[in-house]
Amino acid sequence: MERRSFLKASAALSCAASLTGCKTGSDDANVTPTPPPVADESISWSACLVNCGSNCPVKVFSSDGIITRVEADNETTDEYGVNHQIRACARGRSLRQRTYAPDRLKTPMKRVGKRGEGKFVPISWDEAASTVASELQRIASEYSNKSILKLYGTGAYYGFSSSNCFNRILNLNGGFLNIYGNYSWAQQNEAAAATGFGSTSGSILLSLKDSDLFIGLGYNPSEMRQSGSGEGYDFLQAIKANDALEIIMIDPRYTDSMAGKEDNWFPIRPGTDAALAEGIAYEMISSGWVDSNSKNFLDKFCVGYDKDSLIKLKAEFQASGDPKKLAYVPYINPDDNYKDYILGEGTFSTKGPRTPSWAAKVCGISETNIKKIASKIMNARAPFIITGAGVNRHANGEQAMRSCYMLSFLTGKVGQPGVSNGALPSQGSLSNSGMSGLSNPVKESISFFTFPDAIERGHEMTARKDGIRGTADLDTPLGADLKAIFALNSNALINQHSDSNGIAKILEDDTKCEFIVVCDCWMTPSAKFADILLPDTSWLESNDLVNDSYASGIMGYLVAMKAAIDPLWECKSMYDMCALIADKMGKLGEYTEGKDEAGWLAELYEKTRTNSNNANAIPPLPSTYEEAQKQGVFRAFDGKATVALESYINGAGKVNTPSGKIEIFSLQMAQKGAEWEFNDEVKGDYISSIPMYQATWEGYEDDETSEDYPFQLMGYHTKGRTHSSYHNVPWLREAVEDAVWMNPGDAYKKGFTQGSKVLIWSKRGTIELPVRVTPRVAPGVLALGQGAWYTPDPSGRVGPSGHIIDIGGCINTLTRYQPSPFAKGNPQHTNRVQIASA
Amino acid sequence: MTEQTQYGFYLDTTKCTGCKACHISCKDRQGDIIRKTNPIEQGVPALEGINWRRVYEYGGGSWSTNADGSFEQNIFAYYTSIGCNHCNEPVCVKACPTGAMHKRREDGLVLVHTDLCIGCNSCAEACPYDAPQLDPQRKVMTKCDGCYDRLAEGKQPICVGSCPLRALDFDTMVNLRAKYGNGDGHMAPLPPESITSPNLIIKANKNGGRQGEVLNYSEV
Repeated sequence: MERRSFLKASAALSCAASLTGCKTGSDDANVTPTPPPVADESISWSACLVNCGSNCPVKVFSSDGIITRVEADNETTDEYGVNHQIRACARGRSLRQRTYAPDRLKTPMKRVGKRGEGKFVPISWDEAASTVASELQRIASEYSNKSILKLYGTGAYYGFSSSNCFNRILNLNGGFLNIYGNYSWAQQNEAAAATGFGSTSGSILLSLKDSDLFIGLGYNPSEMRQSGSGEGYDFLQAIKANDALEIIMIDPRYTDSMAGKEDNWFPIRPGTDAALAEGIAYEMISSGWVDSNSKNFLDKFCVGYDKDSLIKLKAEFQASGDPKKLAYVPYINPDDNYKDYILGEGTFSTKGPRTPSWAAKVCGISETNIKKIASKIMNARAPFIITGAGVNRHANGEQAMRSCYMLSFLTGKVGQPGVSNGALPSQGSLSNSGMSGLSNPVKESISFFTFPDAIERGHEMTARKDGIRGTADLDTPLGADLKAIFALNSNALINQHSDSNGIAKILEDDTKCEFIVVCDCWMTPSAKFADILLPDTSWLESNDLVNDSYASGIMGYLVAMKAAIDPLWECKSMYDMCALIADKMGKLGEYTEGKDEAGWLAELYEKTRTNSNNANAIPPLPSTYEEAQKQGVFRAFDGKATVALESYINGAGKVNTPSGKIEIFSLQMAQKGAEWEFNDEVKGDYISSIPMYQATWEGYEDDETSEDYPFQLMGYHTKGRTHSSYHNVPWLREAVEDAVWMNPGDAYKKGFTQGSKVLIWSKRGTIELPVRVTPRVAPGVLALGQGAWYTPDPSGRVGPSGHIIDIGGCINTLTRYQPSPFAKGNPQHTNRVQIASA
Repeated sequence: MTEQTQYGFYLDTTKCTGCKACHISCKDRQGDIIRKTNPIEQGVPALEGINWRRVYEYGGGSWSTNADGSFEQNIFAYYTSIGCNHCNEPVCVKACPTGAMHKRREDGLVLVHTDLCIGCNSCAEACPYDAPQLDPQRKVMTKCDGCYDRLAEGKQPICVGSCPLRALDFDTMVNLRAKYGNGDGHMAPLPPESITSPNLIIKANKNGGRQGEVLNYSEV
């Protein structure tokens, strides 16, 4: 709509004067619009299977083979914690428009132009299957099975007809190169594991009832987890149930997880969370609070807090006689301890203490407010702290997460009711049995993020330089370049990977990676880089059996999906298309194991039905899959207020670290930090044994880039997409504008007005999009919803970076491909950019 | 239903996160009412600019920077999801020159009689909530119809059942008042209730009453 004042009292009052037809409502006749004629409607259950953390069920209405609308799960009395409904968010509600999107892939196609140009011609399924089978066999024999990669992809979390169907054919062909890690949690998974827990093993949100202080660092469940039974809803319920809970949110953006729910928001500069944590730690340690309150806890359950703890650990390891422990001994340097580092003592005296005054200059939270936060943590009876994944997706993400985790351990209260360990909260799940991908004879793996390096120099990549896993030793090379990529409901080939322009250039050369197969429902930016395009059926055309996914809130559930309509156009399910390929490979029998779709679903359902984790499902799982499809949704809520590390702290157990204790000093990081090879020209490319704020390339303190690129740019998860999924849905594009957030003070200085078009550029590319002038983002910071589709201007217009302007506004046109030091993960929130009027 | 029956909405702005599930679910239902297409050939219409339910992002506050570069601020924001309030004094009805816009006696829903509508936009100009949304293709006015067809089947309007945060409710005003009381009164960006006597009970956000502005005009 046009910008107009809401307060239109004058317009309303002038009605009588300006119009002759004014009437009062009460005089009107009862004229009822004619309801649309309702044909015979059929109803079936499907689910939204994108990677938001939830797989919300949707009730699909169809008539004469056409989907007419979708509705939410409104099947129960909706009592929270008993049977609450699993209501899909805006995305799930737009599924009709997405299913019938004009850019659906309708037939198999092969590339005819230059790779990436997006020129294709339709081919038969027979030709598509033959080509894939023969190319797979050629590349495996000409190069190596390690030259074949199944790219990271999460656009369709099917259970039965999943991308594991492709694993089956790849494994029947002798295997493929494995990957580890993911774009969401690469750094935090390593940081948490090195410390002694899982990065999603925090106390369940129900246990907030026992807390008096909640602190969220980059924690934003209301935008990340929008399902109506998701973590966002659990968070709302938990804080509504505890009036005494004080809520502090720390984020560069004023997020929808706040919107009045917070007591305080402290805006922070991207990538500086560790500096804040260190300023708080300084207050806690230098005041003597830790000595008086938590030193016993740190001595008993942790190693690395102070020098004595490391001297003791070293002696224990030396005396152990255990070769694994002895191997760590050379890397234990008691001088590298957390307390000395924070206080700027011992070996760290040249660095100076990490005071609140120091931290304020870096992170943007004032010295007074840092002291205030520290004081609240020290005075809290049960502090519940969560560090969200935004903190991990940085060049310094591993150490930033460890630094923030320290806040919980310094209180000495981890393991008590209402207290968490800093990780993302644990959630509930029911269990579906899924299609097996068969076993992979190839043992080597690369970080999911390093596939561009594997294309260009896979033969020389090693554990020491590139974090390759599964090789004989640190210097045994992977020994093969990538020659074939299977991107299966994955837009990480171009759009979701860093430096979209850079990877496009590598992929355009079809003498490097020789064969690219994309299977998807829509013509995504990645699909344009395919040699062979395979059109998948959408969820609403599929029979399948799924669970709630991986971060779906405390309510666990299963959905027995039934196809609402027949496959559209010539689309085939992944199960069916891979059967065609397997047939061409001469492996059909091994692929199908003698079962058709119905046979597989019956078998997977039977395994699911008898899984003890589903014993409490409401209603109980019926005896056949067909009956389950009629019911659609099965749910169970485990109301136990599980507390992180409770069994370790209150039991006699160990955590899964080399020392068996919570490692403030990480033995693995100490070892790898010493053994691995890093790039001196990449600022911040090192691994520290203790959690440590790292100033990095293009971080707030990077004076090499701060002049030419004065703004920090961070991504966030927009409500209008899940990653890049749903970008092609006009309803969502209208409802949630893709615009870069800018602080009003910065916009004023630049002369930008609301909605004006801007160019944003980094060293790697230029994008064009509108600006959203909003007080909800910190000065000096730009925030952009990630996942918009990379679209180089067809007119070839070049931006200030020297690249064709991306008019799609994809953040990865700007991000840098620079694997992080330990996880070799994606630093996609670490960016410095410039901005100007378009 | 008796002649005294009046339907209305309830909105809890302490819960609303601006997720737009209401906006989109409404559009999914609405699309099938105002357009007949073959989606396999034509896709599902965008209906751009025709939004029977809109979610307003309202926020404000100010920023300053300390000598060391650290920030001070008092920023706030909250969301208000609005369809039609089926007002007791519907200015849209008063503004309609043909009688197409009318208030239904049996339940107080304000509806458009499409055959009588000349698409003059007077109702939209008059409504302080932007409830009437002109369909420029058919040149007729459209709006939130309270999901009268669903009500007849004993169901809630589509937006209410869609709300992931359970911030919306719908019922007779008698029942809503019994459940929620009279609410906290309307706050910005809503106009004063005195203009149209809307049937909408609001639970106020903590920041309701603070001076700010609508931050998302492009989305509503």
